[in-house]
Amino acid sequence: MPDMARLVGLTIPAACLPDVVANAMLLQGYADLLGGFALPDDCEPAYGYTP
Amino acid sequence: MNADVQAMGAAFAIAADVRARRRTAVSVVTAVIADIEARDTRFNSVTRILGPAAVAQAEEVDKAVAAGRDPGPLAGVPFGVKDLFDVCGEVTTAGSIVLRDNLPATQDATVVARLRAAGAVPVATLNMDEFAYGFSTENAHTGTTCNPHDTARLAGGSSGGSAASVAAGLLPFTLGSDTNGSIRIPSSLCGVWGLKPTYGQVPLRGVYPFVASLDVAGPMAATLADLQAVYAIMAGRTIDALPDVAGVRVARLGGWFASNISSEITAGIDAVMAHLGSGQVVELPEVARARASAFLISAAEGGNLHLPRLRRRSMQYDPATRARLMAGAMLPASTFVQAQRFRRWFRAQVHEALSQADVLVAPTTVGVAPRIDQPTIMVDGRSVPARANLGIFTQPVSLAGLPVLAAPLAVDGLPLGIQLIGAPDAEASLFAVAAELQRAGLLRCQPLDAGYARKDS
Repeated sequence: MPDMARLVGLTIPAACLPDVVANAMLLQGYADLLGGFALPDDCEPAYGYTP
Repeated sequence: MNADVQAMGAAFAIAADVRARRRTAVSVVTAVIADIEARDTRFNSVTRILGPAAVAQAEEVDKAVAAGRDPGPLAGVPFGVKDLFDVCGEVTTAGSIVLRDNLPATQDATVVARLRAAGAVPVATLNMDEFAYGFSTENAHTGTTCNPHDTARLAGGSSGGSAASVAAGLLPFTLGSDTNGSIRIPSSLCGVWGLKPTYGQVPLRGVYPFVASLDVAGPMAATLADLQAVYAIMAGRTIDALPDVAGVRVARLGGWFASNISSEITAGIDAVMAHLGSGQVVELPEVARARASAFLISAAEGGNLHLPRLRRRSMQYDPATRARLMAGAMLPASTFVQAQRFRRWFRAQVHEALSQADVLVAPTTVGVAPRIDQPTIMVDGRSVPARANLGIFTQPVSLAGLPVLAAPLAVDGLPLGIQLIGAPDAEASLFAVAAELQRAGLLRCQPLDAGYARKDS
C-alpha cells in the first residue's frame, strides 16, 4: 500500500492506514467483479457520456 | 398541508400571497428564519442562515410588487441549498473545513441564479456528507442530520439536510445533488419528493463537483407541483402538458431490484403496479457490475479531484471520507477505464429495457431509515454499513444517467420511497405517472409542520 501511495505522491499517516486498506480492498473486490466480465474490443469508454 | 396547497404547490401558494399583497416577502422570509432557529436544533439540517442577504432580497421582491413590476413566479419563496451550490457572497464548503478558507463565491451557481431571477430567496445552506461522499449525512465537521420523522434515525444522504428541512416543514423546497443516489435516498428516507434529472441536462456551473461522470443537480420539495415547477426553472425548460398516463407503459424492475427489500416496499410497489394496471416485469442484466462500475468511477474521480489536498493536509478531512478518497486516488487506470467501458455496454442494455416500457418502477432503499446508533442495513443476509450501501438500488441507475423521480409512498409509520425511472429527457412521463399515483392516494408527502404556510407572518 505505501508503494502504491508513493506512485501518486501520497503519504498515508499510520493512523489512517487500516481504514485506507479496508477501502482499497473493497474497491479491489468491485474491480475483480468487473474484471470478470468480458467486453468486446470495440466497446469504448463512455467519456463525454450521453444518456 | 391541505389538498388545495398540495395541488397548487406550497411554494406557489406563498408566491400567490406575496403577489396579491396578502403577505410580504420580508415577513415570509423572517418567519421562516425564526422557524429554523427555533426548530432545527432537533434536526441539524441547516448549516448557515443567510439572514441579511435573504431579507435584503425579500425587500426587493416587495418593492417590485409595490411598483407593479412582475416579481417572478416564485416571488418571496424561501428555499435552501445543499452546501455545495455557490451563493454569491458565501464560501461554498461542500460540507468540509478543507475549503473554509476559500474566497466567497462572486456569483450564484447557474441554478441558484435562475431561481433567484424567478423571485425565490435562498435563506440557508444545508448539511451534507463531506464532499457528497456518503449516503447518511454523518459529517465529522457539521454533525449528523436527524430524520424529522424519528430523530433517532438517519436522514440519508448526501443531500440529507435538503431532505430533512423539507420533511420538517422548515422549507417548501431545496436543492440537492445526486451522484449515486444522494437526492433519491434522503428523499425516500425522509418521505419527500425528489428529482434526479437526466445526466447533463441541468447546468452544474457553480456546483462543487464530486464525480463529473455522474453528478447531477436537482430539486426536493414538499409537493409534486413545486418539484415540477422548480425543476423546470433549474433546467430552463417549460413543461406545457404532461402526457396522458394511460399511454405511458409502466413496468417494475425485477431481479436485483426485487431482492433484499422490506415487505412494506414490496406491498407499496404491488399497489402502484395494480393501480396502473401493469404486471410487466423487466430485468436489467449485470446490475451488480453496474453498481461496481459506479462505485469505482466515483472513487477514482473523487480521489483524483482531492489528491492535491490529500497530499498536503489529509488530516483535515472527515476520517471516513479521507479513507475512501485515498483508496480511490490509488485505483489503477485500467480499472477506471474498464468501468467506463462497462458503462457504454450497460447503456445499450438499459435502452433495450426502455424499448419495453416508458417508466420503470424500483425501490429506492431496502427499507426505512437506519438508526443513528446502529447505522447498518441488511443485504444478502449480512449487516453492512449504511453509509456505503444505502445506494444498492440507486447506483446502477446513476451509471445509466437516466432521470428518476423519487416518490414517497403513502405509508403509515416511517417513510419509504420508490424510484420512477424514465428514458433520457423523459421527465414529463415521470411527473405524469407520479401525479396519477398521488391522485390515487398511493404517494404522499407529509411535512411535520409547514411553518412557511402559516399566514400570520
